[in-house]
Amino acid sequence: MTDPSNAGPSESGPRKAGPSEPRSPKAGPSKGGALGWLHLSWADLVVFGLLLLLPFILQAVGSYVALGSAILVWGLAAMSLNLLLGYTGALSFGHAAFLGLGAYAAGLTLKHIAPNTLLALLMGVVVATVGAMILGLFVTRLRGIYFATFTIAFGQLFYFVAFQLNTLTGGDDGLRGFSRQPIELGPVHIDLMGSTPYFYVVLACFVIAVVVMRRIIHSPLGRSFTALRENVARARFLGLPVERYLWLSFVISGGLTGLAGALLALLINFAQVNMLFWTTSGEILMMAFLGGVRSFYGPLVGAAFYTVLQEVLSSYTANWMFYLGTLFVLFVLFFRGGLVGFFTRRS
Amino acid sequence: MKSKSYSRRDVIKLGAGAAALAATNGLFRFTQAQAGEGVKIGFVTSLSGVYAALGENEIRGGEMATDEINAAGGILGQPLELLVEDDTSTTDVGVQKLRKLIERDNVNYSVGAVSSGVSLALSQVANQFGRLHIVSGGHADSITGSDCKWNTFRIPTNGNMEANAIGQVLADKFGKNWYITTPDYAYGWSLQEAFTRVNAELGGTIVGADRLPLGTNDYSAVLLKVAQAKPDVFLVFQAGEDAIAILTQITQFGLDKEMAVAGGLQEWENIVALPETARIGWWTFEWYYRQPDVPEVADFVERYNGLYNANPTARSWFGYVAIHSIALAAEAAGSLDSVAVAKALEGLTLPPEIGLQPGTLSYRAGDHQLMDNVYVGEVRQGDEPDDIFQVERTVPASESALPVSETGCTISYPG
Amino acid sequence: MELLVLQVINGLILGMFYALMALGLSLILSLTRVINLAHGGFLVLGAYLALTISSVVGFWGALVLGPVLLAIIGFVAERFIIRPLYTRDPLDSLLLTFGLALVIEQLVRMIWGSIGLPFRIPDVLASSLFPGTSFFFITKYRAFIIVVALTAGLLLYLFLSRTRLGLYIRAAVQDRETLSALGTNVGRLYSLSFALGVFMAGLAGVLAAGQLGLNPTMGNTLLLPSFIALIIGGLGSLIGSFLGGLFIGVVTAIAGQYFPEISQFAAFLVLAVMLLIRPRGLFGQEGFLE
Repeated sequence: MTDPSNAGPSESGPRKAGPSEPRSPKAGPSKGGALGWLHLSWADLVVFGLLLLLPFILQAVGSYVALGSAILVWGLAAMSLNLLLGYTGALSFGHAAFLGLGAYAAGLTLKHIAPNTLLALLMGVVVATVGAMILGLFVTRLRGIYFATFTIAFGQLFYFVAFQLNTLTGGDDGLRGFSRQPIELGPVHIDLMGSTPYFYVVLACFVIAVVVMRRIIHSPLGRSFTALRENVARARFLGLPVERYLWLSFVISGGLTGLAGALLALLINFAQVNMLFWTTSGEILMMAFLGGVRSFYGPLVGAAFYTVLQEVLSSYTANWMFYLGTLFVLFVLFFRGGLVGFFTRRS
Repeated sequence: MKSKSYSRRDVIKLGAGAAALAATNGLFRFTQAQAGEGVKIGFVTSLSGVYAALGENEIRGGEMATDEINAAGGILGQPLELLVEDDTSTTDVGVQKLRKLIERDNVNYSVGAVSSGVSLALSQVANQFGRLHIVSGGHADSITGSDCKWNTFRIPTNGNMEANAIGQVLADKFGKNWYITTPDYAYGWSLQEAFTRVNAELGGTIVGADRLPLGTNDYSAVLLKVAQAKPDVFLVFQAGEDAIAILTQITQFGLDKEMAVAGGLQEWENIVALPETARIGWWTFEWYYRQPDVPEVADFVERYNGLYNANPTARSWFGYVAIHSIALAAEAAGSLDSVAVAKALEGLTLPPEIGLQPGTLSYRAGDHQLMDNVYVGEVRQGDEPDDIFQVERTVPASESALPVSETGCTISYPG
Repeated sequence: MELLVLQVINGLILGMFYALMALGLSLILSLTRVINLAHGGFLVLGAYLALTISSVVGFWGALVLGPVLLAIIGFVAERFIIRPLYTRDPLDSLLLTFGLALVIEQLVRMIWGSIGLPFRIPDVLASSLFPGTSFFFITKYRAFIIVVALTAGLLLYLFLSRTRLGLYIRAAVQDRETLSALGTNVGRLYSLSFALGVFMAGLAGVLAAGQLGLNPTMGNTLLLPSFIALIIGGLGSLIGSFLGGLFIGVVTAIAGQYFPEISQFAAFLVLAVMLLIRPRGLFGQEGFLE
């Protein structure tokens, strides 16, 4: 029952294939043509549709649009982390480093290079990806608890560096003095100051990221990731270059988290060293886990749950983390499949 | 087709769940927002996290002020509502909360926070939305310096004021050879700069200076260096928990018997967290609840005690003054528009029952800093448990504040 | 040179905290395979408990009873919260204990408030050991810390090597399946070792409170270096974690003398280097949790 060589979360008993397992071609395209190439199922389209309507839903219930953007941003971060955690089976406690890299890269781009929102987002992804590529070279030599501990170490490294490079990053006071600029594509001019137009930019990036992740998961590479999760030793015996695949998963996961970070920086027009602290990595992990690491959208559900609950509770009690933390502990103990797993148990 | 049905339920649950939770959110807010007409001030400060104790006191002062204003008829005849949000002592949450208060709740003005970092961020957000913002808690010089804005006014003293006020006292009492330890981040560096400048102006020497990371547990390394350097004054700029740790250790090593221990700003909430043996040193306070020469203070303290069963601190006073200042300025401007109120705030003098300090306090037009006193004194345990500070001198802002030309601030109004 | 020696001594004292914590972490890890990120939370809880009972039993009473009380709480927590994790991936325990740490911190805040509380150490300890000399710059309290930590370590060693119960625990660390097959109630051993580990955290908490003051977040700054000490010392080795703790303390102190800005980060640097050249640490067992 217990297999200590397993690096990732595993269920007891026969290993069930998750919903988006690459093995089952049914998870693949259900429509032909362009959508088939994108590897999107109609479930994805429903999700996108719901998200398109989210600003209106939120305002109708007396909430506000920026909350929706926050849900998407953290959802993206959690889903990117889950590429490494749920699909490849490696636990990283340092992903806040990529969140922060993306955020600072975006902010610094807007502040010093050019007042171009799209460029800022791109730089966020690029810098985070490069960071992940370099760190990946070191971290993929490790497994399990050592892997996780090393991620804490480098996460803190970035935190300290950002703290010390005060003139560049603003140190503890944070990076400010930039704001998201209107998008100008030829004749089209979209002002992003308001929360609603920005929400759709975030949604667009989210959709792109989902497409990328779907494509990867359904590719032979994605199947290799799952092989790593299930049994590293066996994968190695089968001739899979374990370190290289782990590295790839790490890099993609890091780059997409960087995108989330850039979007976050532009959401609040601010970047701060807290974004890099290891407890932020822990929060992203909590979100992914609360939603369910075995499902594709699980982390998004978890992020929505966490963000909204934090929002609602912190208006009423200063001890909201007590309730959130207790809930999380209960989930780890009893609902390992997360919210998604809980609701789909009977299916 | 198992995977498809899984995804469908997953999707439905996602939608239902998010909507349900958001609906609950809205439900509570509806009942609160029913206040409808009226003036709303958003107060974003730390109610949880590292700075919770300080933030709580700010809110208490603010709520007390709100009740007084409403009892007197509100602002320009309209009821005043204070919307309080928790920044959890982190900047991104603080910024999101303020954006929410502005976008969803349409607050007219905002107040906040405890830490300088959060204060700077909030000031920027409020500025982007054209709202007046009062800084009730940040001490960084840049708030009324290089980062000053037309919409931002600040109540607490800044590092330069503190250095100017206490520097002379220390030199006169103890000597001009100083050793500095400071926390290794922007606020600590600016304090070090300010005190080094003051020391130079007094013709003294800095015999040593060390920057230590935030969260250092063990100060024995630096205390050893200080003991060997034997300065007249040992300046300690650590704040919060670091202050508690270093002061505790200083007294355990008996360093306070060999030299004077002093620093810049201290706060009541930090001192009472120290064991009695470690309540030492010469510091600056921004306000104190025992001021025999200011008659209105005793009355204020009594009323505060009636409400909260505790003595007010400087933080309480910040919150109190912030809300009252807005009310006074709006009345003076005869309008609720942020630009008009901001202009009315410039040069506004606080009546004594709100100023609660010696002399008259007013907001300086050039940098929007409240010209308040710096209370220089010694921390020691008095007869009452809460009485931990002995005021030696109150230094008026005319003496302690840098001239506007040296702050690096230029204010320009929109339009 | 003299300064360096003194800083090394300072580092050893600082390291005693880390050693105590790491010892507790290692005890829990070796037997139950649980990575207890809530150890810092237990430290804080122990410190606050000690403060509360110190008004009744004084400092010395609190020093002994506080950790005992905490160990009882740990015993109960193990039974209901930690035990389900034994059959699962060790990394699940990372997540769970991370959440538990958050809960404990909030609990402490809710019960005792968010303002720091003063912790008074007895006057007999609150002065310099060799007053008037700048050499041997050490307070009686810090000397006291050394004594307590070494005693605790020694007692633990004696317990594990000389008593029957200790023998059982060591056997369980080696091979719990066989031990269980031989009829021993291994579950109770788990609870005992967890309680022992938590006792260490409580002891460290009381000692730390005298030097740092009490506040709800004090566990965080002490947890990570202790965790690093655990890894550097080597998973599965108790003596390794103790020595690792001392090592981290010395590294931090020396960095504090020559590179003060990075003194908090020095431990992480050492960790990163160690993980890259010898992940299992100085004394770690081969293949432990890999």
